[in-house]
Parts: sequence; structure tokens; C-alpha cells
Amino acid sequence: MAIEQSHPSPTTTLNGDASRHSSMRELFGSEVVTQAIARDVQLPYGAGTAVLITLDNGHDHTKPNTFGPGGLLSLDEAIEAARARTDIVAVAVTGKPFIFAVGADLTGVPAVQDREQAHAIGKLGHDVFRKLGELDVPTFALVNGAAMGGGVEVALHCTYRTVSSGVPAFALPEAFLGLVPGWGGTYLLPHLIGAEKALKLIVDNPLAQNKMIKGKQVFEMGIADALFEPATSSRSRCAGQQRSSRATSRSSAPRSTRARPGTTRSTWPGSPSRANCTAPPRPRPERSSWSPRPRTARVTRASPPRTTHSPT
Amino acid sequence: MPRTARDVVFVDGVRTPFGKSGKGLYAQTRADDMVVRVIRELLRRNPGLPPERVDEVAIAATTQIGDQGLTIGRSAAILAGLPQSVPGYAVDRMCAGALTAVTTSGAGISFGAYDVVIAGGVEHMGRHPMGEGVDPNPRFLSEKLVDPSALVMGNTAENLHDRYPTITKERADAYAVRSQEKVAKAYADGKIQQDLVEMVVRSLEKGWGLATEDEPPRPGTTMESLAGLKTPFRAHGNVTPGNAAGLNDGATGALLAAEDVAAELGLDARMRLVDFSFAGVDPAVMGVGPVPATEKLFARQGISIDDIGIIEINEAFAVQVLAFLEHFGLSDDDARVNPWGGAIAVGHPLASSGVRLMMQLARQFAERPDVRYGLTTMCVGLGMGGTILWENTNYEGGK
Repeated sequence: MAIEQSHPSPTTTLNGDASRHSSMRELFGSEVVTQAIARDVQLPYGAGTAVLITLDNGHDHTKPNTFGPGGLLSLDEAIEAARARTDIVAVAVTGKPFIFAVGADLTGVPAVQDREQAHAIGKLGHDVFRKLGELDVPTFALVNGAAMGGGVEVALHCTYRTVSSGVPAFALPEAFLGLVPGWGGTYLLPHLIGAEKALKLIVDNPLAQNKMIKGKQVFEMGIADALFEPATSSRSRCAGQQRSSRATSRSSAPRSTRARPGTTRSTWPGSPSRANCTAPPRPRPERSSWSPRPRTARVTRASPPRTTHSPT
Repeated sequence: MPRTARDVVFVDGVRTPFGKSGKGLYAQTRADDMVVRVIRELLRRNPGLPPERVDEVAIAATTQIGDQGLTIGRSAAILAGLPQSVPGYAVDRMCAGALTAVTTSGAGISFGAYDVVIAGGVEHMGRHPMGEGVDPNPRFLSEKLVDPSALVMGNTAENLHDRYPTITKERADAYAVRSQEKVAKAYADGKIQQDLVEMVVRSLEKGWGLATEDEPPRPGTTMESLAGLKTPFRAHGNVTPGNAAGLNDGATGALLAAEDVAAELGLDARMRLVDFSFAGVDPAVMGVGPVPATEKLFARQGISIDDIGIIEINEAFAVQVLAFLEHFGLSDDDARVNPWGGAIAVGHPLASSGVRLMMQLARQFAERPDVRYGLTTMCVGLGMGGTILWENTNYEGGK
């Protein structure tokens, strides 16, 4: 807690943490930095300009994107640049071919010496990822390839998610490694799809030989708002077009009122064993009252600009 | 077994935005991905067509190497997710590749062998520069079968200026300026966008992006800005990058069907394929190809240029269009010719261009029920021309 108090959560920028970041980068000296490359795209049908952030570490799919301090700070820079603009209608994050992102860069972890260092890495992820849920415009995760751990959590922080049916692996494998999905996974996923299904992804699957799910299941579990075939996914994702009727009805509703299967109280008595091992889910607007870090921006942004994602 | 030729209709056409080769939009995008994009968009726009009813996928490419090789019609069909039962093949007639894909597969429909086909073309001139991997037979030169200049298209255009001395550089530049102006106006009026399908592009440096508009047009081009350009093919020549189409990347595709099948499936029948003709000319002046191809077609049909309401002619070079106009006694700025501008402005990804002409002609037919016939015509490397005669299904004059 001492650390927490000495470094209150920044609400807008990471200013003031420069020295901490540089020491983290030293710790992760061998980090293969996943760059967040931002580019403007003109959305079809005159929907406006979106910023498309590509996560790419410059290697092919055999060396997947990961997040170390350098990668997180690169993503932060891209998000901050988007936040400073008033001429955009959306921000989207996607991966390199075949890979979205596979989580934290663990290569520097053995070098961690003390609690503060470890905490700083966790906190940096929080500070950066949360911004995806707190921008004034809707954010989209376009999950084009394998997504694990922190990669999944990046997507969970976004307002909406699309997934390619060609995604071969989508998982929160932390429990398999003796960790927890600490960059928002344990919090955001139950609120998105309900505790029971979240437990499957966070606990059951990792403890069952680290089982992973595929793109189609990501959509069926309600994690993604739309599913696209690989041959069209990249285009359609950018276009914001919804082809599935299910996707249409789901994503056209504002986030705060969107139906979340499994999160209504009435469904809870039906799953007592699961219900007993986790706190009951609450409607999102209440979160600001008990969340340690009020996320008012997300709660109050009840209705993103309709033009950006209205089904066509 | 007696058989009756069936009427063939142009149902729909789409294309990717065209890009500039080299460091342009599609520098790191595969050609086959562009074809896939077009095929899928055609199916999406025509939900009445069950994919298994597509009987053939004919895709043209001039340089059939790498991502434009592997029998691109078939490989693109598989990649696009068409049923495995749908066959495909590759076509090459250089610049008239897509035009030939349409005539060949369209003729197959008329013959009764197909009901519905997808015909199109692609050229990624950045990944596959003109002449990549060619190995001309030495006899071409030793026996003087063709002039050495015949293999360099810019030189053939200079030769055409020699052949038509009245076509000056000023006339060519003026034509090019009008082409740019017409494209800019067509864009402003939302005409060209109708048949564009946005294309995801990738760049290692810039990440993923989205191509939504043609990259080559240079709105605001003036005679003055063209006057100073170099003439790379001949010292003090006439052909400049300004009065010729550039080096471009792009893909096009069209849906053709037998007219009765289009009616059965509820598909648009936007124009009817009446006849087509190809002709050869001296390869050293390949740009004149559309003239004999069109004359041949006119003679067979017993019609003349006066019966044609809209002409979509590919603008490989301004001089080549002007030679066509001069032959048929049309003025340089005849309103019937390329009303929405042409390749000098939007670009000419070789084998893909033929279908671009068709999709624009079909759109203009819809706006012009007073017009009955239109042409799509283009010159072809190694001295050829190809012309297709189309009939407007919206024509009301005869009623």
C-alpha cells in the first residue's frame, strides 16, 4: 500500500514516472519491443477518421507480440496521441499477421529484485491499458490472431471487440503459470460475460492442460461483439460492418446497457457452486462507487457516437 | 445437338482502389489478396447468387509469377472461400487481360457451358514490374519480326506520335488535363466510389491501413504543370508521365450471367454483351490497336461510331486515345468518351483495367436510358486492340 500511496494512479498521463520507467526498461534490457504503430484510416460510408494502432514487434509470427515496459510505453504514446485529437471517431487496436498479442514479456521477470519493481510493471500495464476504456471515442480491439494474457486484457479494456474465426488461440493462461490475469482480466472478463464463463477462461482452462479457445468460441462466449472470417475480417473490422445478426444487436447497444449473458442476478441461483466462489456481479454504473479506481469515463460514456459503428 | 446462343449480361463490377506502384498504398500487399477482396465483395453485393452457382473464375494477370501465379483464378477462388466445386483459371492478354477474361468466360455463357462467372484481373506492378522474367525469343530481333521499340510501351507511344503527326504534345497534355478534371469531378459527384471496395493494406512501418480511394489522381493538373515534365522515352519527345497512365497496383472483378439466369436469381442485368473483337497491328504502334478491333466489330454488326453513345477507352497513353478519336472523326473532347475520366488519372494496373471500363460504362448506362450502345476498348502490348460492344438494358428509346 505504501507504493500505492506514493504513486497515486495517474488519470491522464504517465508524467512523473519517467525515472521509474527508465529503470524498468533497464530491467528489461533485452525486451523485443512491441511497437504500437498508429495510422489514420478513413472509414467507409463517410463515417469519419479512425486511428488504427497496429501492435508489431517487427518479427514474424514465430516471435509473437509481447508487452514489456517498452511496449507498454509505446502503446501509451499512441493512445495519448489519439486522446489529444478531436477529429477522430474511433480508436482500434490490432496485431501483426497471425498474432494479436500474447501478454507480458516475461524475459525480464527473473531480473526483478524487489516488490516495488514487480509492482511497477503491473501498474504500468494498468495505467496504459485502462486508457483504452477511458477515451472519449469508442475503442475497438480487432483480434486478428493469437491473443493471450495481456493481449486478451488489451482487448477487454476496449469498448468493443471483433474476432477472426481464424484465431487459433485465445486464452488467459496465467493460472497455468501460477499467476493471475492482473492487467484487468480478473475484473473485466466477469463483468463482460459473467463470472461462470469467466472462471472457465481464467481458472478451468488453464488448469486443464492450459486449454485455449478459438475465435468462434470467443464470439460464442460473448467476449467478442462480432465474428469475421479471416478472408474478410481485416477489412470488415476496419469498416465496422457487422454481418452477423447477433453481432448487430449486441454491438448497436450502448456498452452500459448491453446485455451480458450470465450477469443478471436471476441467473445466479442456477449456478451456486460458481456463485459462491466469486463476488456477485454488479451493474456497471455501480462500479464507480466501489472500484478502487473510479472509471467514470467509461461509465458515463453511455452512448458512443452512433455513426462509427452503426450496422450497415 | 442444336443449341441457341444465350444473352450474356454484366451483373456487377467492383474494384480495389488503385495505388501507385513502388512506395504506394499496396507496397506490402499481395496481389492475390486484392483479387480475393474483389471476389468476396461481388458475392456480398449479390446475395441472390448462391456461391456454388458460380461456374468459373477467370482472373487475368500479365506477370503470372509469385502472388500473381499459381493459376490465380483458382487460387483466389479457394482463398475467397468459394466452394471447392467452383473452378478457376488464369488469363493473360497483357493490358486487355480482364477484358479477355470477360469475353472468354462470357462467350462460355453464351455457348451454354456456364450460367454465372466471375471475370476480372489484377496487376501489382510494384511487386511485378512490367517485363519481369520475360525472355523474348531472339528471333524477334534477328528476323526483324518486331521493331526493337515494340517491347517498350512508351516507345510505341512515341512511334504513334510519329504516325499521327497532327497529334502534338500539346494535344496530348490537354487531353490528360481533361482526364484529371473529369476524374476529380466524378469523384466529387460520388460516381467512382460506387464500385470501389475498401482494401486492407499493410505496411511494416505504418501498420495496417485501409485503402478507400484511388491514389494516382492528381487533381489540379494544368497544362503548365505538364509542360515541364521530362520525356523519358525519347529526347524532345512527346510522351511524359503526365500524359500517360502510371505504374499502378489494383484488382477488378465482374459478375457475368446468362440473362435468364440473372432473372432467375434476381441479379441486376445492367448491360448486355453484344459482340467483341480483337485485332492485331504493328507491335511498334500498339496504341492504334483499338481502331481495327472496333472497325472489325462495326463491320460485323453493321453499325458505325454514330450508333455508340458512350465510349470507355483505356488511356494507356493520351496519344493512343487521340489516334482512335482522330480515326473515327471525333473531337478531342467528345462528351461520349470517358465521361468520368480515364486511366491517365485513376491509373492502369495492366490486366485489371478492362473491367474498370465496364463497371463505369454500366453505371453510366443506368443514368442514360437514352443511350443504347456503348464500347469498352483498349490497346494491348505486342500490337493488339480489343473492343466489346455493350447494349444498355435500361435503354428506353426503342419503346
